Amino acid sequence: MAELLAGFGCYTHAVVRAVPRSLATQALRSGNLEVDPLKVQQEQEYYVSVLTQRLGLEVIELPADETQPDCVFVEDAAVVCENTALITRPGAESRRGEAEAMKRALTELDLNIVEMTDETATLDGGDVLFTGREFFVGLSKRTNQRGAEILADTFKDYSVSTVPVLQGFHLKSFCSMAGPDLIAIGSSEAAQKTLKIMQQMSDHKYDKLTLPDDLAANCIYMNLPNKGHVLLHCTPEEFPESAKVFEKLKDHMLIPVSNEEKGKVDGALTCCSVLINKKSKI
Amino acid sequence: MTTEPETKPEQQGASAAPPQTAPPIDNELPPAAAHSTPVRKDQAGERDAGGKADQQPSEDDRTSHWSKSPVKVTRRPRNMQCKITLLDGSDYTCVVEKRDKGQVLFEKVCEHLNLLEKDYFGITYRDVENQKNWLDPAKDMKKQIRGIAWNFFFNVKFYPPEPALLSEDITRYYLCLQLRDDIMSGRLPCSFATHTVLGSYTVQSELGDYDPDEYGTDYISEFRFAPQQTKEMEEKITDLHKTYKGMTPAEAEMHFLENVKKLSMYGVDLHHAKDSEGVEIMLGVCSSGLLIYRDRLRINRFAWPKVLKISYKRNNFYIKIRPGEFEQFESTIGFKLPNHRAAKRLWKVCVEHHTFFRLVSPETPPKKFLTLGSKFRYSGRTQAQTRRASSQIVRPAPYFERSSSKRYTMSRSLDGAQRSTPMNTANGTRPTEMGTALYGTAKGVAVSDLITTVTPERKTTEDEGEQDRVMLVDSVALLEEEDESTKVTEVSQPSPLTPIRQDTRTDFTDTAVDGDLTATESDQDDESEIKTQFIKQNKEVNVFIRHSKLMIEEIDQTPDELLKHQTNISELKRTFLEGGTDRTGLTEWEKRLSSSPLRSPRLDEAPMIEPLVPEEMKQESAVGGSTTQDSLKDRRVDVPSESQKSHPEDIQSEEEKQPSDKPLDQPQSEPLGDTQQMPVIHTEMKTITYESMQQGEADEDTEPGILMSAQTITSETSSTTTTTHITKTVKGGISETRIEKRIVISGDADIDHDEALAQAIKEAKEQHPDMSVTKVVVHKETEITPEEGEE
Repeated sequence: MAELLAGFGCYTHAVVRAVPRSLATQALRSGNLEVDPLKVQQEQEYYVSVLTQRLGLEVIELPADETQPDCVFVEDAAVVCENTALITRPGAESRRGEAEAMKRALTELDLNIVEMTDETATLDGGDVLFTGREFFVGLSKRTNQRGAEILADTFKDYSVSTVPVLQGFHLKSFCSMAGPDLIAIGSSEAAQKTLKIMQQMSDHKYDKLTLPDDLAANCIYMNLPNKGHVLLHCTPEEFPESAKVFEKLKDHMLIPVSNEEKGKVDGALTCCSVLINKKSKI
Repeated sequence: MTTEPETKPEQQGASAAPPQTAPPIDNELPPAAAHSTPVRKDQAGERDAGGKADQQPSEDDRTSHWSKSPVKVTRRPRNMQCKITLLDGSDYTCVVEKRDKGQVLFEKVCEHLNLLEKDYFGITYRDVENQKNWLDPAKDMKKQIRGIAWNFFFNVKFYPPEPALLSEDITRYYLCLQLRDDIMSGRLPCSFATHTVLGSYTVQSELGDYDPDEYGTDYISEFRFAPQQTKEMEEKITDLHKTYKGMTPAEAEMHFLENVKKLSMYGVDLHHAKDSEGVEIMLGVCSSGLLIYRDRLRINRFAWPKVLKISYKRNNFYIKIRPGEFEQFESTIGFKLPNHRAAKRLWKVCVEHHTFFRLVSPETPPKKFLTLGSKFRYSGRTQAQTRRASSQIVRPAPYFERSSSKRYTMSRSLDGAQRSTPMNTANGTRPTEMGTALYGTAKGVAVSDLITTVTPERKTTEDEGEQDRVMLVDSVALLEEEDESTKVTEVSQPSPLTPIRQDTRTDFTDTAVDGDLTATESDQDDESEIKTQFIKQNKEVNVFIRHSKLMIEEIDQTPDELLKHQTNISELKRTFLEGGTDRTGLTEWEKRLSSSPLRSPRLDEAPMIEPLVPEEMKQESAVGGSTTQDSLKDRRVDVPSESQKSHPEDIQSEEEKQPSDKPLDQPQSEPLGDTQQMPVIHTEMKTITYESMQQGEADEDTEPGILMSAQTITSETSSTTTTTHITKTVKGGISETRIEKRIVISGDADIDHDEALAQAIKEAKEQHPDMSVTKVVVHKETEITPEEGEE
């Protein structure tokens, strides 16, 4: 029986991208931190191995493009919901090229592709929080109103609310979904404020999981056959306090995944994959 | 004098043909022509024509009407033929008397449709501007239908959030038809995938199982599913249809509804408007509140509990909202509607939705002779009432014909969907300018500022600003007339000056009476005073929900402290019980709240998943944590003292009282007309916190204790729910047991809440003699309708 809007967190495929050597030196970053190329490499390898081996997803790994130092952060290039993929127009001009490879990959996966062609629109996937019931789009340095409008036009079933990103990089730099109707949120004032706004805008009632560290609030939730609730989250080495919070979640299969090096160039866990649910065709 | 009753109803009526002989063929009635027959008979005949048993409530009305006012019998009745376009696109024709109320027509249509759960539905008409209006059941039709043909549409008025809770399949069927029209017209946008899923259920419901012999590949093309229907979509629908073998029409409709209800625009009634900066936005009224859209994006949402007041003046529509967590003051947000009528329309829709979805029962209708204020209110049943009523439906599921047999008619009528030019097309995304202005404002803090804060309440204390504003508002109020064009000149009239002065003075009087804390509260309502000042005002309080909360705490303390503590509490209690309630706690409460969110993560050191409490519930939940207490320190004392000042009988706030004192002072008689359109709904939340002195010291909550145990016990009676939350913590070597009781009393005003609270306090003391009550928070949500009921 066909049912809409069902199965939050169910994924079958993931699109990832290899780390270009140029990342260590040329990737955009808000801090001024040095990145160890080897460590980034290791992190990414582990990340991909979790998706493939631990979780059994079918992973499409796009080759790195040295001219696109940020290309490993595929999340920004596309927003996928159900069978539709919106190819974005990232806010940073240097990253616009990344969409091309993503588009090809998603086309091959037989998704309905919608492209953001409007030259006044910008949108980074990192600013898009899909809760399973609705979208929140963070208006940030990288995402503007027009970009959000196009997203709303693309995913007509859902309400799309805009929320200001008061501090931090992307909306998902301090929040993400940690389960169905469960929002993981950082405890900074700005994060809490944004959450308040989200809550006001929504007809749905969410639970929240408050993490002491904003960055740790970026985690990846999946609901997989035979595995149940799966959560990829920060390691105790990176954020000891926040890791403890995750460890208290009883119903989740918890997989700590290190993100230390990628974090130095503002990459979070969700940034490194685009997750797709290819249902048996309707 | 008569022959064929079924074709000449007026004559048939004249002959007083026995009811049984009149066949129920309304839609074959010719237009009512001039006639000279006595009304009563005519009506009887007509009613017969309407069919079956005469049990419509409207009938009683009419008969009593007749018997009481014989004068009217002699008057020549004017019958009107009405054409009502039904949800399946077919037309139904019937005759009503010109001065019948809207209800009469509505009842006729519902009867024709065999619909019992009718409260979700209503009748609309297009006015001279081709705008959709709801026919007010309580008002004479002829007063509503002006200058247009008597053509109507039967529509869903209140979209049930849970269609599964409807009692009858037939009701769901009509809801489905409405939604299909909503989808076709673009009012309810959906994705390709959704179109296919919904379309497939539609086909199953109308055609039954897929039959490869009967249906070729093209059978589906005669259906209309989407504004832009494609071959691909039709193929997908066929594929799905094939999988539904054995599904009954009612099941298919249920699936349809279960899917469609999740769509973001389900049941959202959109109205074009502009914000204060002239940016085009849409206001969406729905079961949960008021939604603000810019293009497709939701930029704000005001849940009904967050809205304190809805009003309109001229072409402006205002909502006054409860202060948010980061604001101290209530704010009024204004929107510009295209014209006066649009503003009034929106206001009415809001009043109705609020009543239907939020209240247990509607306010009693005003007494017709005395009330000069707006008579408008939602007069039907609320959702709660209609659910109760429909649970009593005993008839066997009625047989009804789905459009399947009239499939061709159906598709024709759907094609004809252009008839209802969608007034508000949600997807009418205009390629407007980028306009980040809106966002610019939004970026700040207060979400409410997103649109425009017309009257930041704190301003009201400043003389200059106050006067100016009041003047402005007042002149606007003057303009508020049925006929705008004739009144426009009045803006320049100096006459409003007098009332302004008075109003301003009034504000200050208030301030004096209520002290600083309430000043903001009463001040901010100057606007409403202006609105209501001409009304001979009656009031009604409709308490529909109320929470009382006790916090009991045991802390090592000296007898002295203990004593003080208890005295304090009993004093507080007395104050409360004597003084009734006042509404002053609100602002204070909000202030307190502002410090809670940051603390919570630190405090639940064992961080748990917390419910992300929606704004409207925040007040009670915030109390839930003992953590909020320390922020109370400096204000604690004020609160009870305020309540002492308040007048016991003031269940309403000063705000509402005022106009009832003032109105007759007003020199103008003219504005009386205006006041009819004045706002009615006042939603109030009152939170009063009583707390003992001793808390101050005990509250260095900065270093959290260690939670030893926590338990929650819930018990329920018919009208109250008691939740007891017991926590034991060790803090700096001192163990502390905290018992928090939350008692939710819901019901109508006839419950004696004060007594209930007193009882609760008493019980708590008895149960825990070794503990003392440290805090009492009373949280009360009230509906107040200014114009009605006596004090």
